[in-house]
Amino acid sequence: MPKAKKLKDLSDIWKLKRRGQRDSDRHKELVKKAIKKSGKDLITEYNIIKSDGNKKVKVPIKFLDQYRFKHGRYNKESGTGQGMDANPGDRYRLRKKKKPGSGRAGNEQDELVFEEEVSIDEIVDILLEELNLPWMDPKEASAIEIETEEVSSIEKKGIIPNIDIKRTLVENIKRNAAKGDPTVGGFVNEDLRYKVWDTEIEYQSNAAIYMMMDRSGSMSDEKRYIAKSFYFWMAQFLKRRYKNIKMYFIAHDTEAHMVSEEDFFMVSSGGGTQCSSAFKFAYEHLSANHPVDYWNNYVFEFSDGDNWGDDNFRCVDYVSKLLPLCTAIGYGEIVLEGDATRSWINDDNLLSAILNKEINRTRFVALRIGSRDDVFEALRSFFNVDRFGYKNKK
Amino acid sequence: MKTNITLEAAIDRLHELAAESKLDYFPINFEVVPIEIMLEVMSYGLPTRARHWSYGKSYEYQKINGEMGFSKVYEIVLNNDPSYAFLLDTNSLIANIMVGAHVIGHVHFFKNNCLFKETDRKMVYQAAARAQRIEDYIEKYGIERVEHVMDIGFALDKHIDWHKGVYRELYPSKEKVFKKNRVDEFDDISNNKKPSVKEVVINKEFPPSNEYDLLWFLINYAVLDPWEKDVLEIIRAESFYFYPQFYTKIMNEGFASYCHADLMSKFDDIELSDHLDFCKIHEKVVQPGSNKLHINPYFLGFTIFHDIKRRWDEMHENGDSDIDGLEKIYQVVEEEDDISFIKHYLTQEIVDDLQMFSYVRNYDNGKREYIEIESKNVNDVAEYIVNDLYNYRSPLIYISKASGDGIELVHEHSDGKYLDKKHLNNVLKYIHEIWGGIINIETIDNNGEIINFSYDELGFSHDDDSSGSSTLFTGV
Repeated sequence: MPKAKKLKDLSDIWKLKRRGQRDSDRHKELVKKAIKKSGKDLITEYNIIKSDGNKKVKVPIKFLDQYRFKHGRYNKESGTGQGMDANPGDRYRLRKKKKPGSGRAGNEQDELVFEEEVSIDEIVDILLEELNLPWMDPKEASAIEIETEEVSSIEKKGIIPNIDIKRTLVENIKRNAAKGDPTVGGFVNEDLRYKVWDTEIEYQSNAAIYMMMDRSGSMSDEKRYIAKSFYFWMAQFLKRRYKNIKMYFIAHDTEAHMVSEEDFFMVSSGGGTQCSSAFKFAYEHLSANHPVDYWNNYVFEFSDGDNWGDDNFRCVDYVSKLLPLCTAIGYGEIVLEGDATRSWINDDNLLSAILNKEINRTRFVALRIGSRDDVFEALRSFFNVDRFGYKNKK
Repeated sequence: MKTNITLEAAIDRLHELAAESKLDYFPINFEVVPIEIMLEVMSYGLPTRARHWSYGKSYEYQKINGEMGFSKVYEIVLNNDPSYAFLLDTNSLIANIMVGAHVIGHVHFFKNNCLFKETDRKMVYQAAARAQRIEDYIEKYGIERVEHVMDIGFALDKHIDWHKGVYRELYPSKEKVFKKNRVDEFDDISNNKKPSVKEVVINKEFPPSNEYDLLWFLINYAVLDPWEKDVLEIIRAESFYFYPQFYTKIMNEGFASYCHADLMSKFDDIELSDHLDFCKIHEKVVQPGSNKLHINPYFLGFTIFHDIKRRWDEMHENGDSDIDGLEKIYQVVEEEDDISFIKHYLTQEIVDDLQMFSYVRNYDNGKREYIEIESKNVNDVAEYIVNDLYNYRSPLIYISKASGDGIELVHEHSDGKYLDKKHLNNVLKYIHEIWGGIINIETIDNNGEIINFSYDELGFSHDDDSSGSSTLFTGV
């Protein structure tokens, strides 16, 4: 009969070497790659957009699929059970409960979602790479540091307030020690050491962002969500580049008002639309507060294009006035796909078409957005425009 | 814990008791390990095998499940000579003694069951050597490439042909087989009075007959680098190794539970209070489970083996059987797999006792899910239990035709189940990568209508497109 071998520690045969952890890391690496391939999908992810943008957010991430021939979800799945005094023909509702112990592992891995904590920063990294906007990254753009001062050398000459006491004491002791008496005392000018500051002059890193939005009755929740997604990432990207950022939220119908961020995305009114009111407001506010010599100004307006006809040219007028003062200006027109009520509008008369026709500048872009999926492209277009703005600035 | 005995001594005692019960098994190396190692071994199935991200995924999954308290692992035991068993260091002594007895049952099963007799008993070492080869390939060709070939292997590794075996001869190259007396299905309605006699050259076709071992076919007939063939062959060999475990889950766990109950009842060095502890653990393992729509294989197997013991002891006493209950159990362990075990030994009495039933899930008009009890008849219940076991719980797919232009696959869909499209797309893509040409599969859509999907250099498409051109699915 077989004898038990001695109980022992893991033998050489196993050499597990933490393989589970290693392969788990590899799985996560592949998951991250998969996210990178679809960072796009995260752009309108609710958890992110609703976050304050500072902390880590939890985004649902699916375990990586292992492909194989597999049955589709079958409606009339059959099974066997036990422990129930039931009769053929009896029907039971299923109460969904998240209780442990039910179901089989293995089969469910594919459906299981784990929440991965990702920092907004990480996602911004992924998106910038995916959007191919390297100039948005501070590592690439060197001119973003504000003025810094640091001690860069110790000199023998300087002014009394800048005396480096430690170094001076060391020099004093050294000199005394050379004479055979390693104590402090008998200072002479030779002992004195001064700190010297190098001042590096950098470009100012100030940006003013004017986020503007139509809040007339036709701007539905979905349209506002799209605008919010866009603005969320726009702010995130610009935070990468500028240390000092001022954000303004301007809501308008036929008149423009500066509102809080919270109100900006919440409130809608019943009125009509005059987009020029927002551009006018931005122009006046910007001229008074953010001179172009010290500020990188960004102005963006969202509307659904339902602008009053005679207002379109006022918009052209103000955009033209704003252009020399701004790094980039954009206009996003949200016309949801399949929105039947819009069919009577001739596209050529939409503000986006008119602006594109009239304003032919590298620092301006007018975009049409049909769904959440377009936010990604909209960001790319806008920040591609910004590239020229940035270069001009430099 | 009052019992004054070391685990080592207890296991020696278990061996003595096992000998008295005529249990017959490979030597066992017991290892007491922390939970991390336990999860690792569980994720790999075979801890010495080559690395792959999917084990990491499974490891992560086990960890999450463990953290949520979903599952409790008691033991893992490997089919090998000698066998290796892992016990958890946080288990109480009494729990580990019980698990030791349970392990002995498994190893008896490994050694004696007819399916397991076909498996490689040195797999632990084989796997280690193969893992080393794969490490070398990774070194040489890079992790991405090797991983990708492994992905392809795992996509197809459930599609083996157990009866043809791991090692197979290639198709005879020019053999011609003539099939005579083939009855045409229209013979009785056509003018022919007697069945027509036809000569059909079967081997004109390639493969000569429907090929179910997809990996074997690709390994042997596709143009692949030797290292790629080796990687796929390793995965295929492991699939054969695991096949019996899949097909004997109910029996194997039932028998091991039977053994631990039997050995523990004879274990005399245990204090009464410890024995109560044992009973609690035993009940946890061998219980119907709180999910009434699921049958715990430990519980079902254990119940059936008990019933076999009782019935054959009775018959033996009455002179109706040459062998007694225990001998019958050993015979069943040797000869059956889960499918035949359930069909032969699940009785109406057991079904009634355990209040077993078969059911279907369905949706009412309001699209709300409900389940409907179908039957409490033993044949129906048995049918539904084994239905879940056929073909490694995967769709049955074979190669009907292959040539330089591509491969024709057929999905046997008599169960009315359709294939998941996203997975289908990707697996066809894998096969296309290996074989080239057009990879076509005949299957059904979710309405049960015949549909053909194919994958060629333009991507994935199906034939059910009214515009005439094929529909491309992008970004799937």
